[in-house]
Amino acid sequence: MIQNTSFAYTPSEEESEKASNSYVMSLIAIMVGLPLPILNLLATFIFFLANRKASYFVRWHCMQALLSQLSLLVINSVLFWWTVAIVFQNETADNRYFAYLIVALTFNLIEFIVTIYTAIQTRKGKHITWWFYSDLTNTICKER
Amino acid sequence: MKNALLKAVLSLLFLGTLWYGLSLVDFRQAFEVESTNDTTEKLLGELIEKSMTQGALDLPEIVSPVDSIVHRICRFNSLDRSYIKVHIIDSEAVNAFALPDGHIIINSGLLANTNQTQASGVIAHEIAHITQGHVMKKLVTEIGLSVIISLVTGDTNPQLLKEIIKAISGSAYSRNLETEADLLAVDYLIAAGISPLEFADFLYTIDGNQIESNQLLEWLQSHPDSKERAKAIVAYSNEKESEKLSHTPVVSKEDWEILQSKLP
Repeated sequence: MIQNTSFAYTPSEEESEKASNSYVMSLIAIMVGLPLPILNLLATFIFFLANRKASYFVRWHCMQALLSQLSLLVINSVLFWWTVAIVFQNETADNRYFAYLIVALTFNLIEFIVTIYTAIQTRKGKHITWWFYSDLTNTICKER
Repeated sequence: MKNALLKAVLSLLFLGTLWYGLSLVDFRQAFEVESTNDTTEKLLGELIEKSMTQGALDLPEIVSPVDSIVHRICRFNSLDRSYIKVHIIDSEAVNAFALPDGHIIINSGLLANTNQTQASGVIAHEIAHITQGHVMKKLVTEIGLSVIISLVTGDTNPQLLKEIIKAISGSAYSRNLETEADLLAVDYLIAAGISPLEFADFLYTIDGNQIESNQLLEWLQSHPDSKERAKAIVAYSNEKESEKLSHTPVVSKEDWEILQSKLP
Protein backbone atom coordinates (compact mmCIF):
# COMPACT_ATOMS: atom_id res chain seq x y z
CA MET A 1 0.00 0.00 0.00
CA ILE A 2 2.81 2.41 0.81
CA GLN A 3 6.36 2.13 -0.45
CA ASN A 4 9.65 3.75 0.36
CA THR A 5 11.13 4.41 -3.07
CA SER A 6 13.85 6.61 -4.41
CA PHE A 7 13.10 10.05 -5.74
CA ALA A 8 14.64 11.84 -8.74
CA TYR A 9 17.10 13.53 -6.37
CA THR A 10 17.92 13.70 -2.66
CA PRO A 11 15.85 16.49 -1.12
CA SER A 12 17.33 19.09 1.19
CA GLU A 13 16.38 19.52 4.86
CA GLU A 14 14.09 22.42 4.03
CA GLU A 15 12.37 20.54 1.25
CA SER A 16 11.83 17.54 3.49
CA GLU A 17 10.28 19.73 6.13
CA LYS A 18 7.90 21.44 3.69
CA ALA A 19 6.90 18.16 2.08
CA SER A 20 6.22 16.64 5.49
CA ASN A 21 4.11 19.65 6.45
CA SER A 22 1.72 18.99 3.57
CA TYR A 23 0.69 15.77 5.34
CA VAL A 24 0.61 17.49 8.71
CA MET A 25 -1.85 20.07 7.30
CA SER A 26 -4.52 17.43 6.83
CA LEU A 27 -3.90 16.11 10.34
CA ILE A 28 -4.27 19.51 11.96
CA ALA A 29 -7.66 20.00 10.34
CA ILE A 30 -8.78 16.44 11.09
CA MET A 31 -10.58 17.19 14.34
CA VAL A 32 -12.75 19.71 12.54
CA GLY A 33 -12.65 17.84 9.29
CA LEU A 34 -14.45 14.74 10.46
CA PRO A 35 -17.89 16.35 10.69
CA LEU A 36 -17.06 18.87 7.94
CA PRO A 37 -15.18 16.98 5.24
CA ILE A 38 -14.27 20.01 3.18
CA LEU A 39 -12.02 21.62 5.81
CA ASN A 40 -9.27 19.01 5.56
CA LEU A 41 -9.23 19.43 1.82
CA LEU A 42 -9.17 23.22 2.09
CA ALA A 43 -6.21 23.19 4.48
CA THR A 44 -4.25 20.85 2.21
CA PHE A 45 -5.24 22.80 -0.89
CA ILE A 46 -4.14 26.13 0.60
CA PHE A 47 -0.80 24.59 1.52
CA PHE A 48 -0.49 23.22 -2.02
CA LEU A 49 -1.20 26.67 -3.49
CA ALA A 50 1.35 28.27 -1.20
CA ASN A 51 3.97 25.78 -2.43
CA ARG A 52 3.09 25.52 -6.10
CA LYS A 53 6.38 27.15 -7.08
CA ALA A 54 8.43 25.08 -4.67
CA SER A 55 10.81 22.27 -5.62
CA TYR A 56 9.67 19.05 -7.29
CA PHE A 57 9.91 17.01 -4.10
CA VAL A 58 7.70 19.46 -2.19
CA ARG A 59 5.19 19.82 -5.03
CA TRP A 60 5.00 16.07 -5.48
CA HIS A 61 4.15 15.37 -1.87
CA CYS A 62 1.73 18.31 -1.67
CA MET A 63 -0.08 16.81 -4.64
CA GLN A 64 -0.15 13.31 -3.14
CA ALA A 65 -1.56 14.70 0.12
CA LEU A 66 -4.14 16.76 -1.79
CA LEU A 67 -5.31 13.84 -3.90
CA SER A 68 -5.75 11.63 -0.85
CA GLN A 69 -7.80 14.35 0.82
CA LEU A 70 -9.97 14.63 -2.27
CA SER A 71 -10.95 10.99 -2.06
CA LEU A 72 -11.60 11.37 1.66
CA LEU A 73 -13.85 14.33 0.90
CA VAL A 74 -16.02 12.21 -1.34
CA ILE A 75 -16.26 9.33 1.12
CA ASN A 76 -16.88 11.52 4.16
CA SER A 77 -19.35 13.80 2.40
CA VAL A 78 -21.55 10.84 1.49
CA LEU A 79 -21.43 9.71 5.11
CA PHE A 80 -22.17 13.19 6.44
CA TRP A 81 -25.20 13.86 4.24
CA TRP A 82 -26.53 10.33 4.72
CA THR A 83 -26.38 10.88 8.49
CA VAL A 84 -28.12 14.25 8.13
CA ALA A 85 -30.86 12.59 6.09
CA ILE A 86 -31.34 9.96 8.80
CA VAL A 87 -31.47 12.47 11.64
CA PHE A 88 -33.49 15.22 9.99
CA GLN A 89 -35.48 13.52 7.26
CA ASN A 90 -37.26 10.26 6.61
CA GLU A 91 -34.26 8.02 6.04
CA THR A 92 -33.66 5.12 8.45
CA ALA A 93 -30.32 3.83 9.69
CA ASP A 94 -30.36 0.50 7.88
CA ASN A 95 -27.64 -2.14 7.49
CA ARG A 96 -26.26 -0.44 4.36
CA TYR A 97 -25.72 2.74 6.36
CA PHE A 98 -23.91 0.94 9.18
CA ALA A 99 -21.79 -0.95 6.63
CA TYR A 100 -20.86 2.33 4.90
CA LEU A 101 -20.11 3.90 8.27
CA ILE A 102 -17.67 1.10 9.08
CA VAL A 103 -16.00 1.30 5.66
CA ALA A 104 -15.68 5.10 5.88
CA LEU A 105 -14.32 5.05 9.42
CA THR A 106 -11.85 2.31 8.52
CA PHE A 107 -10.72 4.27 5.47
CA ASN A 108 -10.28 7.40 7.60
CA LEU A 109 -8.34 5.47 10.22
CA ILE A 110 -6.00 3.88 7.67
CA GLU A 111 -5.50 7.27 6.01
CA PHE A 112 -4.73 8.84 9.38
CA ILE A 113 -2.12 6.24 10.28
CA VAL A 114 -0.54 6.27 6.85
CA THR A 115 -0.45 10.10 6.83
CA ILE A 116 1.37 10.20 10.16
CA TYR A 117 3.86 7.59 8.98
CA THR A 118 4.40 9.40 5.70
CA ALA A 119 4.83 12.75 7.46
CA ILE A 120 7.55 11.26 9.68
CA GLN A 121 9.37 9.47 6.85
CA THR A 122 9.15 12.45 4.47
CA ARG A 123 10.62 14.66 7.18
CA LYS A 124 13.64 12.35 7.07
CA GLY A 125 13.95 12.94 3.36
CA LYS A 126 12.49 9.60 2.29
CA HIS A 127 10.14 9.37 -0.68
CA ILE A 128 6.98 7.53 0.36
CA THR A 129 4.58 6.59 -2.40
CA TRP A 130 0.99 5.55 -1.79
CA TRP A 131 -0.78 2.90 -3.86
CA PHE A 132 -2.86 4.56 -6.60
CA TYR A 133 -2.26 8.13 -5.35
CA SER A 134 1.41 8.07 -6.38
CA ASP A 135 0.52 7.00 -9.92
CA LEU A 136 -1.98 9.84 -10.20
CA THR A 137 0.55 12.27 -8.72
CA ASN A 138 3.20 11.14 -11.20
CA THR A 139 0.75 11.88 -14.01
CA ILE A 140 -0.24 15.33 -12.76
CA CYS A 141 2.93 16.63 -11.16
CA LYS A 142 5.98 16.88 -13.47
CA GLU A 143 9.52 17.93 -12.83
CA ARG A 144 10.15 21.40 -14.29
CA MET B 1 -2.18 7.18 -16.38
CA LYS B 2 -3.26 3.69 -17.34
CA ASN B 3 -1.81 2.39 -14.10
CA ALA B 4 -3.68 5.01 -12.09
CA LEU B 5 -6.98 4.24 -13.80
CA LEU B 6 -6.58 0.52 -13.27
CA LYS B 7 -5.77 1.04 -9.61
CA ALA B 8 -8.74 3.42 -9.26
CA VAL B 9 -11.08 0.78 -10.64
CA LEU B 10 -9.57 -1.90 -8.40
CA SER B 11 -9.91 0.37 -5.36
CA LEU B 12 -13.55 1.12 -6.14
CA LEU B 13 -14.26 -2.55 -6.67
CA PHE B 14 -12.59 -3.42 -3.40
CA LEU B 15 -14.44 -0.75 -1.41
CA GLY B 16 -17.72 -1.63 -3.10
CA THR B 17 -17.30 -5.31 -2.33
CA LEU B 18 -16.37 -4.55 1.25
CA TRP B 19 -19.44 -2.33 1.64
CA TYR B 20 -21.71 -4.92 0.09
CA GLY B 21 -20.28 -7.70 2.23
CA LEU B 22 -20.68 -5.71 5.42
CA SER B 23 -24.22 -4.67 4.52
CA LEU B 24 -25.22 -8.34 4.66
CA VAL B 25 -24.52 -8.26 8.40
CA ASP B 26 -27.62 -7.45 10.46
CA PHE B 27 -26.20 -4.48 12.35
CA ARG B 28 -29.63 -3.29 13.41
CA GLN B 29 -30.10 -6.47 15.38
CA ALA B 30 -26.53 -6.51 16.65
CA PHE B 31 -26.77 -2.94 17.93
CA GLU B 32 -30.36 -3.53 19.11
CA VAL B 33 -31.39 -0.40 17.25
CA GLU B 34 -35.12 -1.14 17.26
CA SER B 35 -35.33 -2.02 20.92
CA THR B 36 -33.16 0.95 21.96
CA ASN B 37 -35.35 3.30 19.92
CA ASP B 38 -38.50 1.76 21.37
CA THR B 39 -37.20 1.91 24.93
CA THR B 40 -36.12 5.52 24.61
CA GLU B 41 -39.46 6.51 23.16
CA LYS B 42 -41.40 4.58 25.81
CA LEU B 43 -39.45 6.12 28.69
CA LEU B 44 -39.75 9.59 27.23
CA GLY B 45 -43.47 9.12 26.64
CA GLU B 46 -43.97 8.06 30.25
CA LEU B 47 -41.98 10.99 31.62
CA ILE B 48 -43.85 13.57 29.58
CA GLU B 49 -47.25 11.98 30.10
CA LYS B 50 -46.77 12.01 33.89
CA SER B 51 -45.84 15.65 33.74
CA MET B 52 -48.69 16.79 31.48
CA THR B 53 -51.69 14.70 32.39
CA GLN B 54 -52.10 15.24 36.09
CA GLY B 55 -55.73 16.17 36.49
CA ALA B 56 -56.71 14.89 33.07
CA LEU B 57 -60.46 14.95 32.51
CA ASP B 58 -61.99 11.55 33.12
CA LEU B 59 -65.74 12.03 33.03
CA PRO B 60 -67.23 9.22 30.93
CA GLU B 61 -69.38 11.76 29.04
CA ILE B 62 -66.17 13.43 27.87
CA VAL B 63 -63.86 10.45 27.47
CA SER B 64 -66.25 8.01 25.83
CA PRO B 65 -67.10 9.96 22.63
CA VAL B 66 -63.43 10.77 22.04
CA ASP B 67 -62.56 7.14 22.68
CA SER B 68 -65.17 6.07 20.15
CA ILE B 69 -63.61 8.30 17.50
CA VAL B 70 -60.15 6.91 18.17
CA HIS B 71 -61.49 3.39 18.18
CA ARG B 72 -63.27 3.86 14.80
CA ILE B 73 -60.17 5.35 13.17
CA CYS B 74 -57.92 2.57 14.50
CA ARG B 75 -60.34 -0.23 13.66
CA PHE B 76 -60.89 0.78 10.04
CA ASN B 77 -57.20 1.39 9.45
CA SER B 78 -55.88 -1.72 11.18
CA LEU B 79 -53.99 0.32 13.74
CA ASP B 80 -53.13 -0.98 17.19
CA ARG B 81 -55.75 0.74 19.36
CA SER B 82 -53.91 -0.17 22.56
CA TYR B 83 -50.87 1.83 21.42
CA ILE B 84 -52.85 5.10 21.07
CA LYS B 85 -53.45 6.61 24.50
CA VAL B 86 -55.62 9.74 24.54
CA HIS B 87 -55.65 12.23 27.41
CA ILE B 88 -58.02 15.16 27.59
CA ILE B 89 -56.71 18.02 29.67
CA ASP B 90 -58.38 21.13 30.93
CA SER B 91 -56.96 23.89 28.81
CA GLU B 92 -58.70 26.70 26.97
CA ALA B 93 -56.14 26.59 24.20
CA VAL B 94 -57.47 25.08 20.99
CA ASN B 95 -54.81 22.47 20.44
CA ALA B 96 -53.95 18.79 20.35
CA PHE B 97 -50.56 17.17 20.03
CA ALA B 98 -48.88 13.80 19.93
CA LEU B 99 -46.32 12.66 22.48
CA PRO B 100 -43.78 9.86 22.22
CA ASP B 101 -45.02 6.31 22.73
CA GLY B 102 -48.47 6.87 21.25
CA HIS B 103 -49.86 9.44 23.66
CA ILE B 104 -52.18 12.16 22.37
CA ILE B 105 -53.07 15.20 24.40
CA ILE B 106 -56.34 16.93 23.49
CA ASN B 107 -57.14 20.25 25.09
CA SER B 108 -60.70 20.80 26.26
CA GLY B 109 -60.56 24.06 24.30
CA LEU B 110 -60.35 22.08 21.08
CA LEU B 111 -63.34 19.92 21.94
CA ALA B 112 -65.33 22.99 22.97
CA ASN B 113 -64.75 24.69 19.63
CA THR B 114 -65.20 21.85 17.16
CA ASN B 115 -67.89 19.44 16.13
CA GLN B 116 -67.17 15.73 16.26
CA THR B 117 -66.16 15.51 12.59
CA GLN B 118 -63.69 18.34 12.93
CA ALA B 119 -62.31 16.84 16.13
CA SER B 120 -62.03 13.48 14.33
CA GLY B 121 -59.87 15.18 11.71
CA VAL B 122 -57.53 16.58 14.33
CA ILE B 123 -57.34 13.22 16.09
CA ALA B 124 -56.63 11.42 12.81
CA HIS B 125 -53.88 13.94 12.10
CA GLU B 126 -52.22 13.32 15.47
CA ILE B 127 -52.55 9.55 15.02
CA ALA B 128 -50.80 9.94 11.67
CA HIS B 129 -47.90 11.75 13.37
CA ILE B 130 -47.63 8.80 15.76
CA THR B 131 -47.83 6.01 13.16
CA GLN B 132 -45.23 7.72 10.98
CA GLY B 133 -42.77 8.25 13.83
CA HIS B 134 -42.82 12.04 13.47
CA VAL B 135 -42.78 12.81 17.18
CA MET B 136 -39.34 11.40 17.92
CA LYS B 137 -37.99 12.82 14.64
CA LYS B 138 -39.13 16.27 15.69
CA LEU B 139 -37.68 15.94 19.18
CA VAL B 140 -34.33 14.67 17.94
CA THR B 141 -34.18 17.56 15.47
CA GLU B 142 -35.11 20.23 17.99
CA ILE B 143 -33.64 18.97 21.21
CA GLY B 144 -30.91 16.60 20.12
CA LEU B 145 -30.45 12.91 20.57
CA SER B 146 -27.88 13.09 23.34
CA VAL B 147 -30.11 15.30 25.42
CA ILE B 148 -33.04 12.95 25.03
CA ILE B 149 -30.90 9.99 26.00
CA SER B 150 -29.61 11.78 29.08
CA LEU B 151 -33.18 12.51 30.12
CA VAL B 152 -34.37 8.93 29.86
CA THR B 153 -31.28 7.54 31.52
CA GLY B 154 -31.76 9.49 34.70
CA ASP B 155 -30.93 13.14 34.28
CA THR B 156 -34.45 14.26 35.24
CA ASN B 157 -33.73 17.91 34.84
CA PRO B 158 -37.10 19.69 35.14
CA GLN B 159 -35.94 22.48 32.85
CA LEU B 160 -35.02 19.95 30.21
CA LEU B 161 -38.43 18.31 30.47
CA LYS B 162 -40.06 21.73 30.06
CA GLU B 163 -38.03 22.32 26.91
CA ILE B 164 -39.17 19.00 25.52
CA ILE B 165 -42.81 19.69 26.34
CA LYS B 166 -42.49 23.12 24.76
CA ALA B 167 -40.97 21.54 21.65
CA ILE B 168 -43.79 19.04 21.40
CA SER B 169 -46.71 21.33 22.09
CA GLY B 170 -45.57 24.74 20.98
CA SER B 171 -43.50 24.32 17.86
CA ALA B 172 -44.38 23.09 14.43
CA TYR B 173 -43.35 19.97 12.61
CA SER B 174 -41.53 20.50 9.34
CA ARG B 175 -43.73 21.21 6.36
CA ASN B 176 -43.02 17.74 4.94
CA LEU B 177 -44.10 15.99 8.09
CA GLU B 178 -47.25 18.10 8.44
CA THR B 179 -48.24 17.41 4.86
CA GLU B 180 -47.59 13.72 5.33
CA ALA B 181 -49.75 13.67 8.47
CA ASP B 182 -52.52 15.68 6.78
CA LEU B 183 -52.77 13.39 3.78
CA LEU B 184 -52.55 10.24 5.87
CA ALA B 185 -55.25 11.66 8.15
CA VAL B 186 -57.49 12.01 5.09
CA ASP B 187 -56.87 8.35 4.26
CA TYR B 188 -57.63 7.34 7.83
CA LEU B 189 -60.84 9.39 7.91
CA ILE B 190 -62.12 8.10 4.59
CA ALA B 191 -61.45 4.51 5.65
CA ALA B 192 -63.32 5.18 8.89
CA GLY B 193 -66.28 6.67 7.03
CA ILE B 194 -65.66 10.20 8.34
CA SER B 195 -65.66 13.20 6.03
CA PRO B 196 -62.24 14.84 5.81
CA LEU B 197 -63.66 18.08 4.44
CA GLU B 198 -64.80 19.38 7.81
CA PHE B 199 -61.23 18.98 9.04
CA ALA B 200 -60.18 21.20 6.14
CA ASP B 201 -62.95 23.68 7.05
CA PHE B 202 -61.67 23.77 10.59
CA LEU B 203 -58.13 24.54 9.44
CA TYR B 204 -59.39 27.14 6.99
CA THR B 205 -61.39 29.08 9.50
CA ILE B 206 -58.95 28.68 12.37
CA ASP B 207 -57.71 32.23 12.00
CA GLY B 208 -60.32 32.96 14.47
CA ASN B 209 -63.62 34.27 13.30
CA GLN B 210 -65.31 32.54 16.15
CA ILE B 211 -62.50 31.56 18.43
CA GLU B 212 -60.70 33.93 20.75
CA SER B 213 -57.21 34.75 19.55
CA ASN B 214 -55.55 33.86 22.87
CA GLN B 215 -57.03 30.37 22.63
CA LEU B 216 -55.59 30.02 19.16
CA LEU B 217 -52.05 31.11 19.90
CA GLU B 218 -50.77 27.64 20.72
CA TRP B 219 -52.48 26.19 17.65
CA LEU B 220 -51.06 28.78 15.31
CA GLN B 221 -47.55 28.31 16.70
CA SER B 222 -47.66 24.57 16.35
CA HIS B 223 -49.72 24.38 13.14
CA PRO B 224 -48.70 27.19 10.81
CA ASP B 225 -49.97 27.61 7.25
CA SER B 226 -53.42 26.30 8.18
CA LYS B 227 -55.05 27.71 5.05
CA GLU B 228 -52.53 26.11 2.72
CA ARG B 229 -52.95 22.83 4.54
CA ALA B 230 -56.72 23.09 4.22
CA LYS B 231 -56.41 23.55 0.47
CA ALA B 232 -54.12 20.54 0.21
CA ILE B 233 -56.54 18.42 2.22
CA VAL B 234 -59.48 19.46 0.04
CA ALA B 235 -57.50 18.72 -3.13
CA TYR B 236 -56.45 15.31 -1.86
CA SER B 237 -59.97 14.51 -0.64
CA ASN B 238 -61.36 15.39 -4.07
CA GLU B 239 -58.79 13.09 -5.67
CA LYS B 240 -60.06 10.33 -3.42
CA GLU B 241 -63.63 11.37 -4.29
CA SER B 242 -64.46 11.43 -0.62
CA GLU B 243 -67.78 13.15 -1.24
CA LYS B 244 -69.07 10.08 -3.04
CA LEU B 245 -68.29 7.84 -0.07
CA SER B 246 -70.70 7.39 2.79
CA HIS B 247 -69.97 9.19 5.99
CA THR B 248 -71.54 8.26 9.29
CA PRO B 249 -71.11 10.13 12.54
CA VAL B 250 -69.19 8.25 15.19
CA VAL B 251 -71.32 9.51 18.07
CA SER B 252 -74.71 11.17 18.05
CA LYS B 253 -75.03 14.93 17.96
CA GLU B 254 -76.58 14.81 21.40
CA ASP B 255 -73.67 12.92 22.90
CA TRP B 256 -71.25 15.47 21.48
CA GLU B 257 -73.30 18.31 22.93
CA ILE B 258 -73.28 16.56 26.28
CA LEU B 259 -69.52 16.23 26.03
CA GLN B 260 -69.20 19.93 25.37
CA SER B 261 -71.52 20.78 28.22
CA LYS B 262 -69.43 18.73 30.62
CA LEU B 263 -66.16 20.45 29.72
CA PRO B 264 -64.86 22.76 32.45
